[in-house]
Amino acid sequence: MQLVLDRLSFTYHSHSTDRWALRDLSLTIKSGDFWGIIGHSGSGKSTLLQLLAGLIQPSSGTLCLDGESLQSPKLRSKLFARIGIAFQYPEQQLFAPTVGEDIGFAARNAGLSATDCDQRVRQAMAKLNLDYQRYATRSPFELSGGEQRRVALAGILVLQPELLILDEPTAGLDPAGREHLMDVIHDLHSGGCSVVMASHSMEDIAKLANRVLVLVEGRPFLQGSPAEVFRHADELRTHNLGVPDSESFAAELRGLGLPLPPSLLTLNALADALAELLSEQKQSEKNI
Amino acid sequence: MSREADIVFEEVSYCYPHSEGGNLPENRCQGTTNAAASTGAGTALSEVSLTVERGEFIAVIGANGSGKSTLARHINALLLPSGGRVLVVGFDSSDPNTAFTIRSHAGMIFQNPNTQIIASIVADDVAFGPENLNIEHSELVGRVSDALDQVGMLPFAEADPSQLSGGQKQRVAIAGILAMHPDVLVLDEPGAMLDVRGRRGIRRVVRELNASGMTVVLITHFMEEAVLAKRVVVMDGGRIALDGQPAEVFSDPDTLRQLGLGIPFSMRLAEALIARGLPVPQPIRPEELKELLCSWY
Repeated sequence: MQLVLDRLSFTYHSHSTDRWALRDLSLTIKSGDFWGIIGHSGSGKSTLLQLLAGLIQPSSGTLCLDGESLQSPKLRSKLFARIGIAFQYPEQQLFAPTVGEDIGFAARNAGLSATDCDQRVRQAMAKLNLDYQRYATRSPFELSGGEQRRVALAGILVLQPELLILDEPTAGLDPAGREHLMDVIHDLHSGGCSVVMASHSMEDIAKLANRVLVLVEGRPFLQGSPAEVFRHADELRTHNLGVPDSESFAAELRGLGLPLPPSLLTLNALADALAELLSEQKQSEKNI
Repeated sequence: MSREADIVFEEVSYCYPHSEGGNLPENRCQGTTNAAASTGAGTALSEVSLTVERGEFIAVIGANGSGKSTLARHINALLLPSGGRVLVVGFDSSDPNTAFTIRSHAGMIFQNPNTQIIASIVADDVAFGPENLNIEHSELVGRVSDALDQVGMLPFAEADPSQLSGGQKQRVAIAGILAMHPDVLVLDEPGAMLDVRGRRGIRRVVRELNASGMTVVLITHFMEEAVLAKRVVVMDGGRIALDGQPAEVFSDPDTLRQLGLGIPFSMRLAEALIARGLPVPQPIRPEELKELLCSWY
């Protein structure tokens, strides 16, 4: 699938055009992409995610799915089957008496047979590391926050979307739960699902995304690979946005005279670079 | 008057009623004996003893479900212990007559700023608490503007709270507590729903309040917030697992991982470097690690 945004704008104030939630955004989301969306609260992140999922319509500009404009309502309903969206705190939308019923809700609504539904529920649960035997008949409301979040996501995956949209998927989880969910999202993407993820965590974005969009006050500010985007550390900082911990630590070391390569965006990249640099150093010391 | 501790927990146990879908036998969590407290599956706190002195700044960390929030809710008598005793500025929370006194001494900030704002004008919202304490109007006006000033929100006194950012709303909520002139401020993951900038603002306010003498209890998932405190209490399975200065508590990455906690960046990097054959000592602070790496080059 390919989702093309062309000079997309959106305003919540239909009568005045001076307050744009999103302005002039052009973007192409291809199959297999993992887009990380960065920006402060109010930068237009959530508006963008809702536009992508077809929940709101652009005020101007176009949004095309595989070459077809999504202006027509008929196409929009097709979109819903192909794109899954998880809002912030998706566990607040859990409602069914059991985990299995909650996850299967959308599949039943889509008219799948009971056997197919059950099959889909099992698959979705497996993808989110939820053991069917252990969880399917329990109430979602007696699970921990991290477990509830995974149940809610399974309820979206049950429709087998080609594109998964996630708004701050790890907010409010403890570090262990955060790490676990990040692994799950990584596996979903490796399994062929395209992902668009808004996050305040530069670490998560650097670790998972292969494309990054930075929004500032509704406008696209930077767009590119993580290495391209995080190269602009100073510009990001002027907008109170950071770079991943690894890169800001690396920048400090560079300032102290260590000749480290640019764009060390993950802990492992930094550790590898340091190990190489310092063992080289030891080698040359020996040679002297 | 002697300067007594602001918060005292004496072997406090707590069990949520109707946990496990109401299947839990009532008597299972009401006893104060060890057996009762340690076996109940719905037990959120097991014999927690803790003393927080006046003016202390403690951070409480722990995995989801470790009992952090339950502990916090005991400090202003939102929850009463199933066993043991909680004293807040000398008042026993189990005495039904003291709940209001305790709450005027110990104020609480929750995760979601939207659920804590009730008025349509910022200043009115801040005035709500002290108004209920029957503070005279002239004093009330002063308290409101002082409180808003302390959190840097005085310019927004006449604003509509719904137009504010999450971080600003959270600071208004803090002002609402400050206007009641409490001794203790309890914050339950105040930054969980905020962006980096919002969190930074809250952190600055909390530090300043503590510097001016306020006792602060900060419940958090963010390790960089926990290290601001002078003392860190780690909860695990309803018990206190660790209690000490940040440097002590964050000394062993394996223990932290077992407790479901995050590990500070410098220690994670040190681990990765050790795995690559570089002899880095643990625990290590960022400054020490930088110095060490430069000395090797």
